[in-house]
Amino acid sequence: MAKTLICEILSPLFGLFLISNWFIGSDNVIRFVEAHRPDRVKDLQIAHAEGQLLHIESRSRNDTGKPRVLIVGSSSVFNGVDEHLINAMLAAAGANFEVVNCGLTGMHAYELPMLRQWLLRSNVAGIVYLYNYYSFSDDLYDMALPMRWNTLEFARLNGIYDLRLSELDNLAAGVLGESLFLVRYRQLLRYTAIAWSAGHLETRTYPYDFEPGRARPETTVRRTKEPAVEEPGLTLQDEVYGKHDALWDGIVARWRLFLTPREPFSRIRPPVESSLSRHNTRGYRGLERFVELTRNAKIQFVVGPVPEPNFKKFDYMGGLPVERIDRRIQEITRKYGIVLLGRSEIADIEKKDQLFRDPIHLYDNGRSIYSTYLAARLQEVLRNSNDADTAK
Amino acid sequence: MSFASATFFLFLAAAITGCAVLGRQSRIRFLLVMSLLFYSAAYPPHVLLLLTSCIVDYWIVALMVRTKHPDLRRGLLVLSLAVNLGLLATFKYSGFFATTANQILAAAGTKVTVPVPSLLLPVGISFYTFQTLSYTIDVYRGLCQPARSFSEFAMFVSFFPHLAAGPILRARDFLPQIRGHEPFQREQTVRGIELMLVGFFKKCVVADNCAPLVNQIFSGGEPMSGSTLWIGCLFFAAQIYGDFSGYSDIARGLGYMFGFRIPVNFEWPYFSRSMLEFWQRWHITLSSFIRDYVYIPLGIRVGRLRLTFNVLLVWLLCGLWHGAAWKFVLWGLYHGALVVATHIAGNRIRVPERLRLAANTLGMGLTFVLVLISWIFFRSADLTTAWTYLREMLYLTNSSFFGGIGRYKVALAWLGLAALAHAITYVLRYDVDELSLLWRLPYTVRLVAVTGTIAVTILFSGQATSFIYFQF
Repeated sequence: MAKTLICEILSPLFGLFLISNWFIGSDNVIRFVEAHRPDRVKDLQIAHAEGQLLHIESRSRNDTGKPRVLIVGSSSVFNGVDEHLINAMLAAAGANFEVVNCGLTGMHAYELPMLRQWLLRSNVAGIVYLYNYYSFSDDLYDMALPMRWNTLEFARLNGIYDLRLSELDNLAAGVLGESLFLVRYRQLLRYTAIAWSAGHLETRTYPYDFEPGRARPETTVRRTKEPAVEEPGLTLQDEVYGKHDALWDGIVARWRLFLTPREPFSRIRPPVESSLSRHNTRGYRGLERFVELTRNAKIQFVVGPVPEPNFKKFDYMGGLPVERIDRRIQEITRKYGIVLLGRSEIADIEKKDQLFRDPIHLYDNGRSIYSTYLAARLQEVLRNSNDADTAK
Repeated sequence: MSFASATFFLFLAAAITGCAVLGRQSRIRFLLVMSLLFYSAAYPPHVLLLLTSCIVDYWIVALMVRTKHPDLRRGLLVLSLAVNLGLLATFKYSGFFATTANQILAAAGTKVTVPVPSLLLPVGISFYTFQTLSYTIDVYRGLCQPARSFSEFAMFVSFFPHLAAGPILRARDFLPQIRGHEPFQREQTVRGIELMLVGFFKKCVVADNCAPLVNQIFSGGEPMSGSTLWIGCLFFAAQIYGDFSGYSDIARGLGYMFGFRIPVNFEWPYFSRSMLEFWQRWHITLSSFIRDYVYIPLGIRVGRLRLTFNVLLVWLLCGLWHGAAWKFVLWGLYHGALVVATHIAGNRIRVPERLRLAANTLGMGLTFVLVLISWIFFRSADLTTAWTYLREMLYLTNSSFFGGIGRYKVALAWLGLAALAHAITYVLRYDVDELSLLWRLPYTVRLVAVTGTIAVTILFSGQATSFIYFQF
């Protein structure tokens, strides 16, 4: 029996691991796939998101010798940060750093520690995390689970507190994705193989979701009339945590949470509400854990918001007291003594609708202005950090 | 829990580990617990229903073997039928019957309405109900020895590979295997892995890649040309075959691995030369169940008219078994009518030997087209949609019949390739089901073949969808 299990079951699985991680996951294949990753088209959204992660993995393997500063966040970062412009400005100012745009579509703060294997590298001098208002929710982002995953970090982050039966399949997919390159980048590899065999594979010409120079969509020009502020409703987790102290009610509430099917991630507003609900959501816990990790790795960590206007069409945070999220981040940065780029510094950008193409993403001109601001702030932060190190 | 989910692989790893370390008796109990865990993943309370069905039939049979009184034995059999069919009727058909009653009442002009219950359909209820029934009936007829313990019987009903969507097992075939089973025998394991690889390929690569195209064409969102609707049927034929026969292959493969033989459920059905033959090759365990427990008891030595009635009744029930909707009733009757027609034609038409090949090819083509048409009723949302689809599909004079066909060129090329591979395996593998191809390969080649097939399946699998037969 043992021989059968080893020869016929475990050996093919080991073979799969080798093929997946050493052959398909080799530097040459990664370079090829990364150079041809698809643009953001509706049907290829997962492949596109996998391409963003592969870009980070590829850059983390490729050491240019310069210390790196990683700018991490959602698609707001992916589309809103021009790393070439920032690098040019830093080089002109004599700063010997290489800035890398590590934006990942839909990234939440709970994912920060789960990306540690790509972010916390020895050549990384600093990490700038730019958050959205939806970043600190309890929700897991379905699309990201099979690719942006670290089982131990999730276990540490989550404990058994928020575990839900309906999440188990996602978690299992995460485990497979973490173990096998082939699973982690499945859609991207599939797209590449099919497009290559059909002769449709094209080299990517721009690093953003939207082609630079294309006209800004008309729908985003009107700003919402400020609605009355309302308290967000209680989430299921809020109810569970509200009964945390009462033994029996607490057990019943946890059990209910465990059995309640999870709503698929479909709109941004619920995560914004969830980010507002408590001080210990998965998102805030993830951020705090990542602060610890960067501190242990001796990496300078900076936190700040990305510009988010409030357009009528989408209105995903209209009427919600979102400034509370900023205040919570202030508390965390103060507690750990890390640099915070305040929202007031980007207030001018947030006021100008013509700098955005939609409520989440900056338009070409907005990207230039925001990147210029980031370059200036980075110079300052990194200089201060160097001065502090020298003083020590 | 779907076989094609990440959770299942973790579950399977746990099941294999447990079976490898436990002794035979504990292994049966362990597999039973794992099977119930597997079932509870869909909706935990439904485990109670499954257990109720098991307990009722186990005790009814236990009482049945203790009594010699024929009336009492018959009474116990009727009780078993009533409980099992009652549960099935309640959970699967009560909504359908109530809705139909309301439609009739409304048509009659009354304002009375019957409340329509909305019960969550327990996964696999149609499958396990038939299995428990087969046990009671077979013991009643003296064709099967009763189970020696409750865990043995519950294991037969709930063994996880076949629990959600078959194949439908017979107690007389499976119970003796429980008593002497040895998991992870090398040749059996290799055969099991081979079947699982084929099954996962059929489900994840063939069926799941066909699904988006089928959904798009059957959604009726935009006007489609006749040719596009035929393409929709063609892809659904591939999807449902890949999905269901893939599931059966995986179930059989798992069975082999754990030391059990689960019966064949599909034998290249799309190569059938008549509708009668189609049903001898498609969902074989259901066809044989209905033949043995419904059709034969209705009487086969009867007049032609009565026989026709019996066949149509059996197919009506078969349609209803698939789902509580009129479209399934019509689907069943359509197949029943074609089976009757095949009978009549078979008795009257004698094909000369020299024309046999041509007749077989023609029969194969005709049967395939008739099956394609039947899938319209199966896949459409309701009868009205199915009728509209069929009308537009057969409206050959429509000037835009071939419009938009170019969109599906690449998909059709892939489907053609899959059909070719299917035909080659049919020629090579038909009638040699028990023989493992992998086992005959040198170990290193086998290792590369298995690893490569897993990698290709992962890479080219479509967006994961639930198995179609889970809804039955």
